[in-house]
Amino acid sequence: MEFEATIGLEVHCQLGTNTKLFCGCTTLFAQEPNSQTCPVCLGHPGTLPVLNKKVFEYAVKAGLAIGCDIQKFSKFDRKNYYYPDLPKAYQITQFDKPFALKGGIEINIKGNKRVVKLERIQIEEDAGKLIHTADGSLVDLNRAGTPLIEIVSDPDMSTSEEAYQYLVNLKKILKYNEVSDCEMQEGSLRCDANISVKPIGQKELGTKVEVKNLNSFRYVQAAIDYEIVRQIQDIQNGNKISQETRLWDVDNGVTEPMRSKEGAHDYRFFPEPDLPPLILTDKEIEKIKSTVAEPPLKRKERFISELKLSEYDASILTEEKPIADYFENALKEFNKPKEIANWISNDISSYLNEKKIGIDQFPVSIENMTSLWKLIDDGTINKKIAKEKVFPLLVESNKNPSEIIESEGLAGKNDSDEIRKWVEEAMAKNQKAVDDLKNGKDKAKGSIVGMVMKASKGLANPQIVNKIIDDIINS
Amino acid sequence: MENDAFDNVEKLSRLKFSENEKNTYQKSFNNILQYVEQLAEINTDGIEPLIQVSEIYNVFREDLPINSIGVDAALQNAPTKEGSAFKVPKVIK
Ligand SMILES: [Zn+2]
Repeated sequence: MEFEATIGLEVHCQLGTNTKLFCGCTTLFAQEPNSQTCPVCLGHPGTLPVLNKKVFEYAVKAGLAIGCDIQKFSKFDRKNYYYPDLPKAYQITQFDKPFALKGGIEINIKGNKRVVKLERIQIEEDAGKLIHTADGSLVDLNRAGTPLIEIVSDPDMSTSEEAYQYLVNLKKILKYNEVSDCEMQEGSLRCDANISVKPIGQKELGTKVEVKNLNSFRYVQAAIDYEIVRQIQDIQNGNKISQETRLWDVDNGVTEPMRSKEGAHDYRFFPEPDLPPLILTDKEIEKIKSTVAEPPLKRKERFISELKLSEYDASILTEEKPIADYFENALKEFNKPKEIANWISNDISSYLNEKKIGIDQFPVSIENMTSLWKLIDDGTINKKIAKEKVFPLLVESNKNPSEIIESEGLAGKNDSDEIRKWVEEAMAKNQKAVDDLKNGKDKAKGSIVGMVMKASKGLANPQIVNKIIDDIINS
Repeated sequence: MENDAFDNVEKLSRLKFSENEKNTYQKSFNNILQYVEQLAEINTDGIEPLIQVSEIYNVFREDLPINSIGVDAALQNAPTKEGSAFKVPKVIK
């Protein structure tokens, strides 16, 4: 019997606000345990939560960016369960009236584009952190009350590759819209996967297993692949799949049933009486909509179709919004997309990687960067010299490149007579190359060009050098 | 309320009753439920569920930090602590 898998993903994304969802404690990462707490997020009786306005704006912006139907009416509910990381013994979340429904994330598997559908997005608070020691569990409530959106997909995927792409593209949209830093290391983006298998063609879904502890998209992919094989084997061995939560074991590359004392799920949701419902007008939705960034995939396609960039270049340029912005701003000053793309994906990227900074911290202004490109373009300076000599000085000083070229004496030599002299000297020293060239072995040209470049300290204009060599050989 | 349901509520509330207490509370519980169930006699066709009684909407605060109370105050009422953390019985087997 052949089987097919059904996969749904739940992504928890921390919104990038300064303070928590319902109190003014900060959301700073890696602070002394319980130093970022107050009576509200500690769950003291008699305290009153008040919604952070920015959370709602960011959430609605994310919902619009994902193409959701933003709900004009939404409300909060209590999800009740006992666990030490949840000081109130309930989590404030949205149950039957979340702020966003539907929407979707585009994926492209080997040229087949399709949209993975979403079920909903809800706003909710994060729990605290537990550290398990030999004789107890330690509770740090700094995280408790941190604002999250939970993005719930439909069970609309069937392979781990689809799930991986869904996550990559979802993350890109969230980052493009600056609603979250999406740092998985710091827990700003977390993913649970719901996985089931069924015989191909069967309508009814199989029993689903929830896998948690997936700290990277690659783990999500690996855990899905593992689960699909495990579940099919179990069924083929005549066993029933039990509906359970499993944890991904990174070291062994397997999923294991989660063994905790958390009781069976019986959350007894009811409306949160301390938080008034939320109402949005068309005008407010439109206002937030005007701040939504152009979708990364749309931007990529535009770069390919309008600027004639390759798929590869367009991917690199649209990987992060600040890079795409830098590119397009530079393009306004210097209209050669391919040239700019090369500089960004090679020289500029290497510099940023070496310094471990983003392009928003790149020290060279667009004005100075584009003037260097213009100086290459009009032959004032050789590209090689520009890359090897001027660029390192430019990132150090962000000076006008003309000044650097002037003061370092790096201007290209375009004077034909001067270059002819160097070519003749080189040929005199390398008769074999001259003979080879005359016999049609074009490869021999390289050694003469090399000698000329050396003699001119790299400043001779290579096009003129080549032309003069050809002239002499063919004369 | 049936025994099973009562046991479930007991479990979810992290309470432990003796057999005697159980009889008493189960009776009280059923009285409360029957009292509330009288509401079911009213015809509510076409009436939206009541979510809140205040008629207030959209109460927000700005995203501005307010000083936290500090670790000492936060842990002041904790029966057990270790370092800057609350300490509770082990929750993972
Ligand atoms: Zn707080």
